[in-house]
Amino acid sequence: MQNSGDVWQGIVTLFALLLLFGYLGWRRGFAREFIVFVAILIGQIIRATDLGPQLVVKINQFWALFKIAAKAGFSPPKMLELAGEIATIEPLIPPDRQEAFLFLLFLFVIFLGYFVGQFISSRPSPVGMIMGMINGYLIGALLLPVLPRELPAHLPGQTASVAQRQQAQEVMRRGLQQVGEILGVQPVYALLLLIALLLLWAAWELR
Amino acid sequence: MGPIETLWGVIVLVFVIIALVRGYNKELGVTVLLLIVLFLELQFGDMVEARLKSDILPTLIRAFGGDPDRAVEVQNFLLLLIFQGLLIVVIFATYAGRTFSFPGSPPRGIEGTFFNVLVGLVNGYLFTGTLWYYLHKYDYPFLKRWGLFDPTLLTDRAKRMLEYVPPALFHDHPEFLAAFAGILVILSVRK
Repeated sequence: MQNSGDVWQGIVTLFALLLLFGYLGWRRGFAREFIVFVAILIGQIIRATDLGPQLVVKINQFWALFKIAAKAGFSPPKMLELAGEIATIEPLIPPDRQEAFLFLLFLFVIFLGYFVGQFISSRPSPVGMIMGMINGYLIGALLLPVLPRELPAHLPGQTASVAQRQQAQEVMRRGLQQVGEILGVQPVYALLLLIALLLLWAAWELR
Repeated sequence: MGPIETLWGVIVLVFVIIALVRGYNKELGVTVLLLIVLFLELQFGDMVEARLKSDILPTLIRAFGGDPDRAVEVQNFLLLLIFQGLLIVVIFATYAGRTFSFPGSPPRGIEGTFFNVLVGLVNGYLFTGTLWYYLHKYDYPFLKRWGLFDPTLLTDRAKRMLEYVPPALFHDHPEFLAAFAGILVILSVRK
């Protein structure tokens, strides 16, 4: 159960996120924000599907091969001799740090999205603001659940507890629900309103 | 045969492709006309239907030697023709003839493509949603009799979707459609 403090915390967080990312989206323009959107999707796919653990396995395999190669002085015959030791090499990313690594990778991919966008010409636009808000919501919804609600933060390698994750997700969900109720609209009418605004912007953007 | 919503989905996709090819400045003109037709049908539809059912259609059916009380399906079919026909004629005229397009050209790149797709989706939704609404309202006349379509086989998804077609959503407040069309027209002439 959530108390009213949690709900308001969710609402304030949501509004702050949407406001901040909406402003950034307006300034950066649609094209740049769309790249960030794609980066968030890629980051989340890596983090939430089997792709992430598979990537960790590959990185550990390359790391083991590199260690063997270094030990053999990068001489192929010696490398073959030492091939049996490959199983004894400590993995670069141990299983207890896998989640932390994938989380950092997720952050890096998002950062890359923002970075790459700098090289693309894009002008300030209201559609950019909408895209920025969507990105803000996604980043908030994906990042907040893994942040602890109280300090101290997790120790390195320690995983976020399921309870914390569920609690944070619930705060976001309740916050969004409350926003909908405050606006006094059903989702379908909110969607229609959004589409109507987008159409008006589309007409405005003609030049 | 697949579910009917698949057919509507394909038609919406065609609208999106047309919008991508033509550009959304032309498609917004179609949107405005669709909104106006929808407003007229919702605002005056009940009145027109009542008048037709009470007077004109029975006379017409009797003139062809039929019994109006037993020819409910024929009545429904004629009403369907009137409501869908108006929409189809308007759509045909806007695409085939001189189009009411908005001045200016769409922005380039992703933004322009996004708007093209959006306006195509909206037009497809307005057109197919309205066709489907009237088809369902008049109980799929003759399609059932000829075995072309059985409404009892509508999927749960289709039944849910029918609650969200434009005439169902705006039946009580068609003035919103007219107001929105008006705002779009004002935006089109602001330059």
